[in-house]
Amino acid sequence: MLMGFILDVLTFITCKSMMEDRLEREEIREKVFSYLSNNFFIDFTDDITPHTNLFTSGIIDSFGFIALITFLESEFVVRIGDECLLNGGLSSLESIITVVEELTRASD
Amino acid sequence: MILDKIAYLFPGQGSQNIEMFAGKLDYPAKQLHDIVRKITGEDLRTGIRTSGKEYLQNNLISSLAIVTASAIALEQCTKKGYGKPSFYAGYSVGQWTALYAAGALPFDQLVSVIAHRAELMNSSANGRMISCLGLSNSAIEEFCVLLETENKYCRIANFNCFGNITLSVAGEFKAEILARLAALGPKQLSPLEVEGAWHCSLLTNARNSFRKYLNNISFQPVSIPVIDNCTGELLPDDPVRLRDQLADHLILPVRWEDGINTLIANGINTFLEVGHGSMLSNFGFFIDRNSKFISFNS
Repeated sequence: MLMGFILDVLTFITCKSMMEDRLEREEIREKVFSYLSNNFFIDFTDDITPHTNLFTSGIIDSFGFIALITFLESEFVVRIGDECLLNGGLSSLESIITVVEELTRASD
Repeated sequence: MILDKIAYLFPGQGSQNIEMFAGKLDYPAKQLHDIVRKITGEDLRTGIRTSGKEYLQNNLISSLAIVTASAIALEQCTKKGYGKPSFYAGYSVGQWTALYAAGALPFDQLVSVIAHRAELMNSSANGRMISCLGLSNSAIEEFCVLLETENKYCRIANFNCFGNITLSVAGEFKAEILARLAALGPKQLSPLEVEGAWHCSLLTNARNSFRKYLNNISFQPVSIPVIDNCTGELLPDDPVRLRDQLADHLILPVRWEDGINTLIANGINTFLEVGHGSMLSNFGFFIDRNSKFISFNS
């Protein structure tokens, strides 16, 4: 009986932690989505999906990139390091969310 | 307005656009435009107004426009009391604006040099340039080495800032190189709207002719030290070495990040981009976020 109780508690803690993670990601998504929509006039539809590369699609240029980094650093109190500037990091809505999520977790 | 220990930065090609020279044609713009027209026959304001972007794509025109915009802005920011800079630095053709600012040569001679430089560059213009965002220097260097083994010309022309490089490539391989670079996963690749492949050995003939031409130019000692945009160190005082290095610039990559880091090591914490646009301030953001980069447009 005691063992069953412990298992229930552990399951509860795990589920709560997963829900918090999901909530955190959703919260990040909401803020980034809103920033991109308002500042780059992106309408995420069939043409531009959360996985679309915003650089190659011509939505974000070097000026926009600086504005995006400045926004992310101030909104989420993170430091975007050089490693995030290479390859696919920060290229799409989903990759931006992932980078911010990892950075906020690392700073916890 | 008093700023901290400051360096003035002068942009190169890439900063020009059709919004240049939209202001009133009064002092110092009128005087400087008159000199450009007298020496080259080009009326930059009219050309931009009537032919727009196409006009500015011409190597001679964009070089003259960039240098003239910086010269106008230099007068204006001096008047507005931005304070005496401790160093000057210029990107590509902006290197010459930096020398002009430091008193090495007068504006009319600057215009003649720029016009001749552009003419020589055009005579060797058989390549193209590609801007690449989001790949490391080492990844691109390896890529260039690989292409070298295949006898396909591809060189780094500009080390702008972290993850931002410009390549000079032989025109016939441009499409293939773009496709192969895309496979490396950059953030962005864009062919540049310039007339040739600058800052690479494709310009060796132009470099040699320019070196001979520079024998006719007498440089005055600089009043403020100028950073060499291809070594990242100070330009030499010795006139022969100075001419050698200025000619070599045509075939050497711009190492902008190195120059900015040299200035930071020398105590500079504020950079004023003097001219048109904010290309150099953008690079600065990715070089050192503890320094201030401010654009002062004419």
